[in-house]
Amino acid sequence: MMSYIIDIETLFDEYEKKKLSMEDIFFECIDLIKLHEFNKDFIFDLNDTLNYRGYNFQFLINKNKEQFDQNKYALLIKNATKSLDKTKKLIEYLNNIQDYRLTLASLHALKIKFLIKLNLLPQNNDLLNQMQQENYRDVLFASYNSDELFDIVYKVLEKIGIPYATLAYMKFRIDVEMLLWTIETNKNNGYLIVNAIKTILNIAPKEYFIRDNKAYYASISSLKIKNYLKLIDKDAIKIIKNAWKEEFDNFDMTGYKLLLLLV
Amino acid sequence: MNNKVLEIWEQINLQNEITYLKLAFSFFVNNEIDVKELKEILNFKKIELPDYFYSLDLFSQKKFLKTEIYYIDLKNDSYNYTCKTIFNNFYFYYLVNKAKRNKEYTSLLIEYVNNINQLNITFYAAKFINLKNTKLLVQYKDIKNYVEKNHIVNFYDLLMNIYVKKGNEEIKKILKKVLKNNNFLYLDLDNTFTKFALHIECLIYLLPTKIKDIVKLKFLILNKEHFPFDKISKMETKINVLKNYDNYFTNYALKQVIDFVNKNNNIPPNGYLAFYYALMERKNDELYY
Repeated sequence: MMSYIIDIETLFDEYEKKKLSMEDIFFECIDLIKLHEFNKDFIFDLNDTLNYRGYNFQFLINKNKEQFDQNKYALLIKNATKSLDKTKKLIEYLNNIQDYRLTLASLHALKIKFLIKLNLLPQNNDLLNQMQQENYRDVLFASYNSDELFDIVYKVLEKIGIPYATLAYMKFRIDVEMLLWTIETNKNNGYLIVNAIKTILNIAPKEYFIRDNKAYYASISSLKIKNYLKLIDKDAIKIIKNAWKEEFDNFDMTGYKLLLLLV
Repeated sequence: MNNKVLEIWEQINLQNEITYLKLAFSFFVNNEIDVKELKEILNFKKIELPDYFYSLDLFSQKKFLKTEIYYIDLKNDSYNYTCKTIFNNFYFYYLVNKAKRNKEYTSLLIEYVNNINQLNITFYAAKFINLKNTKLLVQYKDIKNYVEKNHIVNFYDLLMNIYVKKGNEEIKKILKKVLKNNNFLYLDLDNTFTKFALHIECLIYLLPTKIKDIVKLKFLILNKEHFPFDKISKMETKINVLKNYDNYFTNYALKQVIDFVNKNNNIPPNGYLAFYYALMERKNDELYY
């Protein structure tokens, strides 16, 4: 958590002690945001406090994001596993786009050895050093079973286009992505089925899986989607459903949430 | 009674009950009065909040009647804002209860639902709109005659009568027009997602009454927060024993929906789609497609 010039909670306690009106608090917030130079993390935390304390306004966070370009992305992801420079450029692109769906669709193209070289993963970790030739997608989801590695590996997501990876709503989506990954571990070319599921359930747009006029997703009928969802590891489903039982209802309806309703 | 309370009462006492309630709450959220003073002000109009309100923490109390969120787009020298109306359980059922026998509150309910602008809520609220409390039967003689002939009471039943029971085509045309103009519940029946949701609502209509809402809760067409609080725990236990709901649908009825989905690809993730896929799994082998 960043440290700000002021402590938001303490300040709001004072406002309420002084019985400031909502309008006064609104203008105080504007001054605070300007004082913090429109820092996104600050606005995020301020909105959190406003919501928690029952005020009915929120400040929009301006995301100056690049628009997705299919051709540019195709060039970047091609052979990224073979080149440190291409990996670096792909990561830069993911950070500019800041679409968690694109990041999650690109994890397989990031090699552990390059993430270590780019200082996104520690250099002196024995376990990771043994896995240098592996891709980040496999290592991330396999690390769900490893207390040692999980935090270190998971945190990389924050630097590759998912800055809020540790917040509950995002962690939920990544956990469901892990469920999809279990299909890949059990089936040859399972990733084609996973991508097809993602397009049918609107988890990610089709364009993210089309490169050089080739579709990297299986052609399966949406009517049979539940048959394909049956390929997901049953034990993993139980664990994830249980973990999110309390908060599930509060999440926005996304393709990830829809998936969990169907399994 | 203190002066502050008296001042506030003088400002707002001529308003209708729901506006009085909203204004009283706005003073509370604005840090001008505390909970005790809020209760006093509401007592003047004999408005009672449920007991559990008083055991909530202060911040939850402030959010109790929240029906709008303002989104501020702040620039260096200025700001713009948009207002989003949100579903509030207490407010919604307050209007529903008052609207049962009252035209003004029926209008307010319709206005609130239109402002929320979410299909699942619109269809749900349609059940609570008593046609006798609306101008529909006055403005459209054909609808009045149709409603009287078929003993239809609320708007949801009228919609289902037309679309499920394949009622009168003329009435259907009039209804489509009515639903697009500004004086009644708003539904754009030319919109793809609306059409899809209506297809699924028609399927749900075929279920026994006691499981309709359970199915909606199970597939998150509606959430817990949309139902009356005292009914939720019973509904949740019933979800666990819900089975064979697909037996109520003929293959013909399902095929209509399948054909629609096959022609329209981009339906966003939502509870209606979850229910649809669940049905597809159960009926998979029987359907010809």
